[in-house]
Amino acid sequence: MSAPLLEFRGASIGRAGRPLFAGLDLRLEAGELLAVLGRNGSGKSSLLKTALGDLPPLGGTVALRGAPPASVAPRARARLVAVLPESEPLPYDFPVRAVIELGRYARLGLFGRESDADRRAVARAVEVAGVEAFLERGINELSAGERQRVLLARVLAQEPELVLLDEPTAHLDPGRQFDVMRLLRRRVDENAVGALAVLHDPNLATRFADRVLLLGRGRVLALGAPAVVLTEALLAETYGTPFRVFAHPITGAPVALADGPAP
Amino acid sequence: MARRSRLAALLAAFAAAAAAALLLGPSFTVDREMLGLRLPRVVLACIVGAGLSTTGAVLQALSGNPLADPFVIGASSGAAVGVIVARWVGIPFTSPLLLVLAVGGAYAAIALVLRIARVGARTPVQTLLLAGVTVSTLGTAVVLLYYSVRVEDATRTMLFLMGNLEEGDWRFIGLAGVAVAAGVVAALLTTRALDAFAMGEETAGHLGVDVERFKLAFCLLAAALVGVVVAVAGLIGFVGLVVPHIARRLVGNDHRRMLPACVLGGATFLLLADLIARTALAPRMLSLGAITALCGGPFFLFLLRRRARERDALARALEQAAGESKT
Repeated sequence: MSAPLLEFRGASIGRAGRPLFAGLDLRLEAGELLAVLGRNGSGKSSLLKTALGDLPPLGGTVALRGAPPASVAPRARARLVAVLPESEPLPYDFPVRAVIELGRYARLGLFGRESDADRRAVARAVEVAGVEAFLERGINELSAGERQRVLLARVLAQEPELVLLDEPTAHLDPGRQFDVMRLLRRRVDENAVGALAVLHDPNLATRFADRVLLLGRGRVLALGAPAVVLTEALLAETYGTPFRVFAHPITGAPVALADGPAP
Repeated sequence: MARRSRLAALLAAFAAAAAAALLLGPSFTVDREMLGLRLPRVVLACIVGAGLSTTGAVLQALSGNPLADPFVIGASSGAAVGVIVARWVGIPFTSPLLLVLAVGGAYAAIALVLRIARVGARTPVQTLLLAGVTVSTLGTAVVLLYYSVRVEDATRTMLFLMGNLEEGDWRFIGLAGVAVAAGVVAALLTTRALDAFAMGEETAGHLGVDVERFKLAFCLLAAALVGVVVAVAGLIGFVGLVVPHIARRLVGNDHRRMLPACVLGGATFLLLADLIARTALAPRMLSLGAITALCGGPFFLFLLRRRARERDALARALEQAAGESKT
């Protein structure tokens, strides 16, 4: 029985001695997608950085497969955890193929030699993410949605056990948002990875996440199944604006709508 | 395939430039002038050109900023301060100790500028250029101070730092050649890490690059190359900016092809610049540093202007989109 993939125990999250929220108890295993919702500055990104070991917890403990994340060597960490950032252009343009191949960095041999396993992993990632069509194009020439699928392919090529996603659907149209979340969900359902995704849209969380972590001002507001956690009261407290939650006309799942007074 | 053939074309251009640099001059025969005067210049041009271009490429990957250049960010200036310190304590121009001090000065400047210029996880153009200019000016101040205090050595040191390839001592050339070759090979062995850095420092860390260790190693590498170059050839600016830019255009940003293109292109650029320096107003010898700066300076301004325009266009497009979504 191996240690849990990711575990927070009484963890206090923040930076430079200023806690953003405290008392987080959370366990994440492969096969689960956990969405993190909260207003700007509530500590969502800091939570991801703490899981990576780039920020130390200000209290309590964090463990990646039983070890403090900061103690895991960079290459070993990259074999365990991959990060999907917001879809932004890169400082330099690279062919899509080169971007995806770099997902294998932590597994390459001496002086960057590629093995058959590396080539297979890249080919599989390209196929799963459906990016064959633009392999030879420059990543900065692509639309935000296409670029995000390429970066997701890089995450898949990394063959991690845990995927951390920081607003993976920002700047994407609704269709492209669903593309990215569907791909992620498929990998989670294959029991291949556990995922911790910072999202801004409660309805994406309802549709794709197994559990939701709601962060409020300085504390954890709720942690549980979307249908239980995404209530009008809790959402209003999370975002500081009234919400309407009603049943989806077909599935019956909760649909959340920010509903403050218009000026 | 096309990109590989461009690398071959660059190799041909380099061979042609080397032949021209070796053969063009008052005499065409293999004689003392060719072997004793021009051959060392040709070898030195290759060392200096390859060293400066590789440094530019490494600094550009490290900072995520295509305008980083050893001269612009003050590394050359730091190395010049190292040379001045060496002169101050009486170390001769051909001593290996001069190399050590120049490398130390370059490292101090690079480390300082990259630290000051950093904003969060990024190194924006504005802060990089401002920090570079400031450190450069500080270095120049030290150099000028030396000239005014040690007047008797001012002319010699000034000529040395002005940027030229007049180094007749084969042992010193050999030492510099070995150092630059080692640096270039080290860079070629870490092209994957350079690629990762070129995608952003944070991303590099996520992909498994030991960011802090590589940053230190690349800063040391850049300092070693610049220090050695300044110690043998003085201040030669903008090579590390112009050559990597052309290399990116020709073979793309992938360092596996881009670095070899920088090595060949840098050597070619310096060979041609030195050819102009010694033939344009022959028998008068022009300052090589002035020639490269006259080519590179306007080029740099052009890049800066184009970047600013691109940014303006982006800002306007965003504003427009925001306006449309409101109405």
